Amino acid sequence: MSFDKNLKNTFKLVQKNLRVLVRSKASSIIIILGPLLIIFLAGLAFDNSNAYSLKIGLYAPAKSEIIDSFQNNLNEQFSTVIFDDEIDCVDAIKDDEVHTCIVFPENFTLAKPPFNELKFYVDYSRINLVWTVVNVMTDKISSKVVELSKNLTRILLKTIDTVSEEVKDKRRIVVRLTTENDVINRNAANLAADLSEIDLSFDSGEFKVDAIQSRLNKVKHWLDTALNIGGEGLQKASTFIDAAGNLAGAGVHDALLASIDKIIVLKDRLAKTKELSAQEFQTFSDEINALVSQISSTKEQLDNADVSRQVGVRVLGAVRNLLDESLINLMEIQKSFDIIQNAIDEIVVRDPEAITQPIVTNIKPISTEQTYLNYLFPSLIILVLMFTALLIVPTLILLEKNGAASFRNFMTPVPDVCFFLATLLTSFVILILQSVVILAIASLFFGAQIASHIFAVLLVLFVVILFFTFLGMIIGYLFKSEETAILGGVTIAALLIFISNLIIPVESMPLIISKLAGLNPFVIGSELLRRAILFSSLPIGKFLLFIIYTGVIGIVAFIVFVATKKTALKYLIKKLAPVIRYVKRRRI
Amino acid sequence: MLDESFLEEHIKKAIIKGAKKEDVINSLVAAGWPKKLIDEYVKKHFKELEILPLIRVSNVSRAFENKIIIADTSFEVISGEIFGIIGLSGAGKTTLLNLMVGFLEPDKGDVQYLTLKKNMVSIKDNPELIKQLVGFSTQTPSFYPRLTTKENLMHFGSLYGLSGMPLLRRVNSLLSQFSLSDAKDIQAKNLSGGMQKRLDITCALVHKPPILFLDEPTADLDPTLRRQFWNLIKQINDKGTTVVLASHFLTEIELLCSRIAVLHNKKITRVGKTEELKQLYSKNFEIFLQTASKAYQDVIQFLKNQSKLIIHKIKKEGDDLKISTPMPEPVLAVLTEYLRKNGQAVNLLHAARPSIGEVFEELTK
Repeated sequence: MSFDKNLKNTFKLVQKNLRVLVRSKASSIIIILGPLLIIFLAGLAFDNSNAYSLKIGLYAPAKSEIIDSFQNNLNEQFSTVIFDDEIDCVDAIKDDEVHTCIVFPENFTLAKPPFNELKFYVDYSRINLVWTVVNVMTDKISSKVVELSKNLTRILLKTIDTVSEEVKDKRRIVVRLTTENDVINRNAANLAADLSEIDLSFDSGEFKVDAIQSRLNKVKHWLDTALNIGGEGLQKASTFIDAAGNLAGAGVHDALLASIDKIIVLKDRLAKTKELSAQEFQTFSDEINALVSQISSTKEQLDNADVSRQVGVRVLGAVRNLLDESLINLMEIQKSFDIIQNAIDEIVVRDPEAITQPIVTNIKPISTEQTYLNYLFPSLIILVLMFTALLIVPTLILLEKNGAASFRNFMTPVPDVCFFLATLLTSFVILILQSVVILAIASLFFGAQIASHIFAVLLVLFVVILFFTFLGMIIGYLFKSEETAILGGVTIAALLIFISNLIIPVESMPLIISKLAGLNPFVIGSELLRRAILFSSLPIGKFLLFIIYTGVIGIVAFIVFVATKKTALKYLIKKLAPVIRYVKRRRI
Repeated sequence: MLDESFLEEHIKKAIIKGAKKEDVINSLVAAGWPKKLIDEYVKKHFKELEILPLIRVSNVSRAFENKIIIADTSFEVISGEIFGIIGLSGAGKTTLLNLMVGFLEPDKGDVQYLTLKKNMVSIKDNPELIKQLVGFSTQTPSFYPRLTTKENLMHFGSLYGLSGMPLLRRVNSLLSQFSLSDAKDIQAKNLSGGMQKRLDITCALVHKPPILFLDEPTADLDPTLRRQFWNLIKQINDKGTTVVLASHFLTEIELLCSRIAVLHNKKITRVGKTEELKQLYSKNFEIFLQTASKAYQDVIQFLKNQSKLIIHKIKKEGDDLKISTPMPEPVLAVLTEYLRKNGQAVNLLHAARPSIGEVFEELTK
């Protein structure tokens, strides 16, 4: 049969397959309503960016303002249920009455371990909900904690401001003290220098008090001698005069008498001078003695002063050392003040909000998508396509294989390859239609941005549909009944879903499973579609890997088909016979 | 001047294409050729075709899981006949038919078909060619239940390479011939059992195959429908289609088939015309009696007392009394006399060869 006829027959079979599928209510529901229903439900469920409607159980042994504040905070978004007992609260999770239970400690106090510890009870068996609960609750509690932290931070900041002001103020004093210390130090240095320069050496010998005394004694001696000599002269003069008066007349007598009188006066005067001089000398001598004594005293004083000077110089040296130390200390203090001040000045973030939340996580979507649907959409569409392919394709094959018309089909002169191609094309058409329906609905009703990336999206869908169709065909050809084929399809789909991001993050799986998940066609397909929808780009490596997957699975599907259809094998051999003969001839 | 060589060539080509005798004649008459001349050439060339074996089954064996179902079986089906295969339930009739159409491969032996080019070809080598020659109506109807009657015919017709108006004409013709026109737009699953069976046969005939295989065609039908089907099969055969019919319903085989093959002990034990088999394997005639009273106690007692008569078996079957005897004439004479004397009104009294059932019993002893 010619290629044209086979192609024509293949299209006739596709046409018939579609007609049969559309006539079957169950198949129609799966084909048309299934994806519609899924996308609508998914759209309604995920087309929002709000947190989930969670029920929170609360148990607090004692009421307090802060607990009420927490509860009010939670009530803004969730419905809360107050429990009187911790066990009741936990049991309520088991009974699905609440999604999580928050237990406050007795004497709940902020920032006072262990009285600030909140206990969260979650049901990890509900793995799909637990992370949501934990995340949402952690966020909610965190916001409350942040609010409390802000208050505490405000107090801290106020204290720091006060310290800063005080440091600034006291620094000035320290600076002044430093300056003064310096001046004092310099003065002390000068003083010490001056003191050092003062010569308090005193030589009493230089006064020659003994010589003066000796000379004075000599003078006195000479004066006494002179006075004695004068007295003796005067005596002798008086004796002479007396003698001469006695010898001389009256007239001379008288004159002599007058001389004697004068001599007596002189004598008296001399005696008086002598007395006076003796007094004077004595006074002078006393004064000299006093002077000597004074000198001695002065010397002693000067000596003492010198000692004091020396002591003073030493003391000044010590003072200077102390002043130096003080200066160093003052400078240290000043430095510390500077450091404190600088440190305080360097605190650029003075906003309590900024301190309590130094990093504000402002999640900016790298795409313009906003709702959960958009994030889930790629996985969702691949999921729908995978399930449809793994259910519809085996059903289609087994309907053909086990259906009433199977014998009639066998009796027609249509090669089995045409049936293979017809199944492939039928499934492909159905899945493409489904994809178009899903994309259209998602685009029209849920605002998914697809139109601008349509080429990349269709390219990915083309390969993904081809892959899962081949996989469904393998199942269809391997199994003998619809029930087992569907079971097989669901098992494979479940396996692919299990080692994907859909239930739990791949990153949280054991390493080997995580690596396997990286090779999971469902994961790769979802990733490719995600990239295509959100970024209009395709990671070439993964795309090529998926194409290789599709090629391999296509070959495997054909091998399985041929292995289960002997007639197909024969047909192939017959078709290949000329080629084999040609090769043999070439060898000869 | 009429060119007879052209006429002969045209008839040959028509035969090769699988055209029916009547169609060829009608078309040539319509074209203005003399009926006498047409008949001469048609007779000549269709005769050539008819005398050749259409299917040759040679030493065919087939086993399933080491259990031999068909062992070393050989027979031939001749063009234009209704060939019956009878056998007990589970004897392997369906397996044999499946081997004959290539649905199953023989472990040993071969099945050959006479092509329109008058050469015998093995089904192994030319499965697609054979599929063009063969139509098969299985025990269970084989079509798409969710397609309408017409859609089924159109679909299968198109897979046989028909298209456009010829296909539509063929489908309409079959719908009319098999009284399915009113049900043409009804989904096949909603048709009655009889209609489904008819649709199945029309599907098998949509490509005008020269050979039609029927596997238990009337198994699930009521007597009225069964009779209709028998007529239908005869009509199909009358139009030149060779029919291979497997059935355990012996009356059907006896009524329809020109030749019968008995499948027993994993092989065809006997092939022959119905009457030949009856003569060979049944020494008794059967006398059927039905009286107005339908009370046969006295008659039975009377016959048992007749020591001169050779009577093998007396059995009441429904309203009739069946008497088996190798010499029916004296029995008929005695019996007629007895009934007359006793004043019994006779509804039915006749002697006949036994049914093929007895032959079958004999052959499968």
